[in-house]
Order: sequence, then C-alpha cells, then structure tokens
Amino acid sequence: MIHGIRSDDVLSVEFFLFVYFIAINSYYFFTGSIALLRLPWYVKLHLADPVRRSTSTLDQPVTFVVPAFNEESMIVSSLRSMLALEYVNFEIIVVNDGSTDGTLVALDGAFELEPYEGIYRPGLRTQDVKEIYQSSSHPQLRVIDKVNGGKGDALNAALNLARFPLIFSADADSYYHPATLQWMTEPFQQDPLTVAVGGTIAVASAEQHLPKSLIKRFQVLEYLRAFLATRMGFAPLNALGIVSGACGLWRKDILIECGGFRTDTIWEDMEMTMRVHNYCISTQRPYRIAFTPYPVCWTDVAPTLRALYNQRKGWHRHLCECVTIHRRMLFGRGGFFSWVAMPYFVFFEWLAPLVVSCGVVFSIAGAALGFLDVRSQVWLLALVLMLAMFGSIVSILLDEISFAAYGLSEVWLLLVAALLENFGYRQFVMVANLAGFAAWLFHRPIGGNTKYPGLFVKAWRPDSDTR
Amino acid sequence: MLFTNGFSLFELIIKLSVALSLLMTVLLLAALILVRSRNAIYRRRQIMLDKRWREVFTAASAGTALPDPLPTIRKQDWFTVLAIYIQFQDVGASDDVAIRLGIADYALSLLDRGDDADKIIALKVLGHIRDARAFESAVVLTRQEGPELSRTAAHCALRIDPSFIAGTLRLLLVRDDWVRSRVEMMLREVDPGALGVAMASAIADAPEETQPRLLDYVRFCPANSAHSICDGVLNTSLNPEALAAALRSLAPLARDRDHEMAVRFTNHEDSIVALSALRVLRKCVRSEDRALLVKMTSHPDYWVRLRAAEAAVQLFATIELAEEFSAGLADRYARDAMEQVLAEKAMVARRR
Repeated sequence: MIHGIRSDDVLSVEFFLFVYFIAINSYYFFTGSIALLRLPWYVKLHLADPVRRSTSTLDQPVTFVVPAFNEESMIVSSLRSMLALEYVNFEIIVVNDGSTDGTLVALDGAFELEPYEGIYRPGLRTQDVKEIYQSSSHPQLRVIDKVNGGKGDALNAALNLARFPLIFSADADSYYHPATLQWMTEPFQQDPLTVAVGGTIAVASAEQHLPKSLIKRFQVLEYLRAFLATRMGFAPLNALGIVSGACGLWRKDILIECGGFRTDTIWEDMEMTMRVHNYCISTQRPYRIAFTPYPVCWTDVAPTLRALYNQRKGWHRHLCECVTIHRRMLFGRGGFFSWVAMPYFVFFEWLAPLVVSCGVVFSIAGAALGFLDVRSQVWLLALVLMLAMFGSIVSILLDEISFAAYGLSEVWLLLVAALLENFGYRQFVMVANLAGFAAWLFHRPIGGNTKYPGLFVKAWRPDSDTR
Repeated sequence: MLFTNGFSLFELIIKLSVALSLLMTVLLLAALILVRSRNAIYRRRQIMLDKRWREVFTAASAGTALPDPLPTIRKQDWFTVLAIYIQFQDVGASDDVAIRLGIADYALSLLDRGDDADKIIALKVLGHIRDARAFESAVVLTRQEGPELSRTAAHCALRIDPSFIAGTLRLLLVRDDWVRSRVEMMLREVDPGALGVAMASAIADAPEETQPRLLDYVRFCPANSAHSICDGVLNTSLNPEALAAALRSLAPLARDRDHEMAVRFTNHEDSIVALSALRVLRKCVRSEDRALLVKMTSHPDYWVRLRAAEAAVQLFATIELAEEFSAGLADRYARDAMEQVLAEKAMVARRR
C-alpha cells in the first residue's frame, strides 16, 4: 500500500466504478429488453398490414427541409431519392446555407432552377436570404440561398417558407426509402397527440451491405445499438431524447411555438427534442414523441478517424449543451422523460467520458503504483468487455429478429467488430467525447468555420454529420 | 484486515459478475445463432412458399388449371399463405381455392386465438371472402384499442355486410386514430349512394364537435348528396370547425349558386371559416366580388390573404389585368399575397 492512500477510499472508488458500469449496463439491458419485446410485434403487425403507396389527398401534406452546406457531391443524388418518395402531397425545400462550393450550381444544373417570385415570410429570424428558387422541372422543389448561419438557422429559414403542417428534417447526404413518409406520418394519424416522430437511420455502404472499412463497421454497431436497442426502448415510455436531424418528422406548429430551432448550439436535433418535451411538460400539454424502427434513411458515416473524432467531439458538445439547457428536466415533472431518459443522458452519456477516463487512469495508476491488485483490475476489465459484448450482441439480435439486414457472414463480421471495438475504438471515441466536453466547458471552437464564437458551424458536413 | 476482506469481497463480486455476464453473453450468442439459423431456413421456405402459392393463386385468378391436389399448408406457413392470398384480393377469382384450402375456417379460428397481427390478416381474408360467419367477431373487434386491428375489423364487417356503413360512420366519430387514407380506401368500396344516405344521417345525428371528422369524407359521396350534407351543416351549425370542414368539402363541388353562401362565410369572425369560404368563392367568383376581395387580401391572417388572392386571380381573364388589380391595392400585405399567387401562376404557365 502506498503511504497516504487509505484502503477504504480505494475500495470506495473501485466500488463506485463497478456500480457505475453495472448501472449503465442495466439501462442498456432495460431498453434492450423493451425493444426485444416490441420489435417482433411491430414487424409482424406491419407484415399483416403493410404501408401502401400514398394516393390519398387525405394524407397529411409534408414539407421536406434539407439544409445544405458544401454538399456539391451528394446533394443531387440525395434529392433524387427524396423526389422519388411515393407520397401524394409533399414539397422539398433545400436551404443552401452559404456554401462555398458548387452546391447551388449543381442544384441548378440538375433541377433547372429559376427565381421564385413568391413571398418569403421571415416569421423566424434568420441570416439574410439572398434568393429563393423554384425548380421548373420539379415544381415541388424550392431552394433558399442564404448567408451561412448554421444548421438551425437554415432549418428556420425553411420553416418560414414551408407551407405544410408537417416538417421532415432531412440531411443532404442521406437517402430515403420511397415509403418513408407513409411510415413516418402514420403515428401522427394514429395518435393526434403525436408532435414528432423519429425514424431509424442505417449506415449506407457502397458495397450494398456491410462496409469493408473497420471504422464504418464499428459505426454500424453503434447505429444498431442507438436505434434498435436504445431508442426503441425509450420510445414506448414517451422518453425519446433525440429525434435525429437526418430523419425526423415534426408538427410545424410545435416547432413554431417552441421558437424554431436554436442557432446557438452546434446541432439542433437533440436540443429541439428536449425543448419539445420541456415545452409540452411545462405547459401541461399532452403529447407523444413516437419512433418508427423501420429503417427508412441511409446515411454515410465518418470514413476516417479524423472525421470521426470531429463528429463525436461535436456530438458530445451538443449533448453538454442540451443537458445544461434543460437541466431542470432532470428528476422534474416530466414522467419517464425526467426520471428515465434524462438520468440516462446526464449520468451515462454526458458524464460517462469523465467517469470512464478517471476510472481508466485510476486503474492503471493503482496497478502501477501497487495500491490496486493487478489481478482484480484484469477481472474488472473482463467484466467491462463482457458487458460491452453483451450490448452489441443484443443489438445484432434485434436486427436479426426484425429486419435481418445482414447476411450470415456479415453477422459474423459484426460479432468480430463487436469484440475488436473494445480495443482502441471505444477508447478513441471516449477521448473525442472528452474533447467535446472540454470544448463545451471552455467555450472553445471545435474547428471549421467559426462564424459564431466558439461554435462549429461546419459540423454537419457529409463526412461528419450522420446523426 | 478490513482492507484484505473488503478487497477480497469486492474481487469475489467482480468475479461473480464476470461469470454471470459471460454466461449471459454466451446464451445471447447462442440465441443469435439459433435465430439466425431459423431465419435462414425461414427465408428459404418463404421464397419457396411465395413461388408455389403465387402460381396457385395466379392460376385461380386467371381461371387456368389448378394443381391437383392443391399443396398442403403446414401450421407455421399459414400466416405467409394468408399474406400472399390477400395480395390477390383485387384479382378476385381465387375464392374457390380459398374454400378448398379451408382458408376461411383457419382465418376464423385465428380470430379467437391469434395475436393482433394474426387477427388483422384473418380479418382481411374473411372480409375478402365475405364470410358472414366472421361478421359478429369483426364487429366486436372494432371496439379494440389498437387502431390497426379495429380499422381492419370495421373494413371486414363492411365488406361482409355493406349495411354496416352506418356503424362504420358511427365508429369514425369516435376513432380519430384510424389512418385517414386507409379509411378512404374502405369508403371507396361502398356504394356511393348508400354512403351518401348513411353519411347524411350520421352527420345529422352527430354532435357538432365531432362532425368535422365525418365531413372530410363527404367528398366520397355523390356530388348531390355531398352538396346537401354540406348545406345542412352550413345552415345549422355554429361550430367553426364544422363550418370550415363543410366548406372545405364543398369547395371541389362548388357551383354558381353557392356564391351567396361563400360570400356570407367570408365575413365569419373565425379565420378558419373565412379561409374555407374563400376556397369555395374561388370556384364561383364574380366581378361584383372585387370590393370583397380587396378587403380579404388585407386580412390579418396570411392564409386568408393568400386564398383571397387566389380567388382574385380567378376573376381576371389575363395576368395583366390581375397585375393591374394588384398594383391598385393600398395594403402592402395584400400586394404581397397577389404577387405570390401571380408568380406561381406564371411559373405554371411557363412550364406548359
């Protein structure tokens, strides 16, 4: 024992770390169990009563909003997938948010833009709108060309121009299933209290199925865990903490009542979701935020470690912003959201990088300095590994019993990835999260275009925004 | 001593936890392998079933020779066969095969013992075959909480006995959780004349606050019935939602004689009613409405201004005359609305 270090203090720290890991994994077990119960029911129900091509004018009209910043390479193909949606009444508003590449030129070339002479009502304040265009080949497509103001600002500009009562927030680098809107609008009709519906995003791959890159495979696992195991578990409790910016359908009136998307946070999706919870709970308005587990959106994931680092740093910073902005929701009057989802976000997402990194340092230092038994640390490590594997296998199992997106060999490759990610990848993500935490704490810019002091306005580039 | 004991105990807890999590992980892995293997077999079987039964039902629909004897259906394949069968609903003539296979009997048994998905598929089959034995069960199931199940049950009952339309409309008054495009599909199968009669009666009996739920479906009634239903509501109701819904339904059918009523409702204090009235007015606008349209294009509500501008543009034979009207408007917001409508009209004209 090292002089000055009390053994019961050491034991307390060890015990705290142990309980923390058990608690985190109990959450995953809890949400995973709900998902395991719900998903087979959901899939069978939709086999019996599948969604159909929309031909009815009674279907609620939807405005697709697509913020775009330097999306020259992907925006045209992405928009073509949106224009191919099998829905009778929808419009698309692309917001070119001060792109410095040829995004607008690409749009003009593909969709024959001409000036839109209609009225733009700036109900929500945004950066200046330079011009509005309408496609002469696709009349339901309009393009707002505006001064760069970040993703929230671009979404607000689109809200100002949107005509329809439902707003689908989409990403310019994602692809959508032709029946996306049928899947996503049904919860609004089945429950009039529904204010938002989150959709499931899957990883797009040029190889059609599982990407060859190991980094991308790790992200496939993360997406499976996030969407099938976690969100599917929170949704039945009306405790969904995030409706993804790439695949979320909102009631326009609730977005307006909440004051539109914030422009002073890095991203907007989690903040808006929490704000809607906060708003509805504060105003005692009954509401529901639903989730559709059927994968309707495919997106490219970070291809390099650098892109991944920036992405996760930004994501964690956004989480920091959200939990502090909405801190009063923690153990507040918000039912399951306040007592189940918020504690998860605060203790097991927001603080996790701090606790985990402290735990790692403590274990290594303790073993090196001799006040911790190396053998017990190895056992602890084995426990962490086992629980991590457990969570990943639950997600793969959930996919297998529901949509079975991957073939047999791919399932084995995913299992290998589930093992390998514990040796370097998870630690890398933790470091990125810590960096995001520090950037939030010290109001430091994350990188890219810092139009707003300390903000990462370019955070949603195709290689970095896949949420 | 405490140190040693404390750590020993802690290490023991960790070891137990590792053992437990290892066991759970191994079990889960085994479950995954099992599910994966079952899925692989299931998928191969699905492909085979799909091919086999599509051939049978296609032959039945086309009236060509059927395989004799018909393939047997294993217990675990019933759901798939029923799902394939209902895809042939629109073709129609596969009912004979359904009877020979005992599809109706099996579907009936599912109504008693299946889960929601089983019941839904059974109801679809029974509704298609119009098996009267299923009617009572279907009516009972319309009272279920699940929107998919209750809606499918109503559809089944309606197919078996078209006179259940009155019951269906009563259900529509309370079920605001049925997907409306699917309700439309259901109502389109009903004889329009019968729908018109039932709709008139249901709306007359319904409380004002629930009338709008039915009024949106009036468009599927014959034009005369739809007109008289909407007129009835417009002459009696004081509920703005009901008035707006009636005007909305009337808009596609509006005739010249609706002009007076449309003008009357543009002055309604609730902008949602004025908005819908302008949709009607757009179809029967007259030159004498010019002053009214000048007033309405300056309305505080954006959508009312826009609809008024649309009606105003209908008034003029050429875009130039409409632009002249727009230029003469004193209110900036009124001119904005006119510009918007004119711009869209010009774009449509260019596209042509």
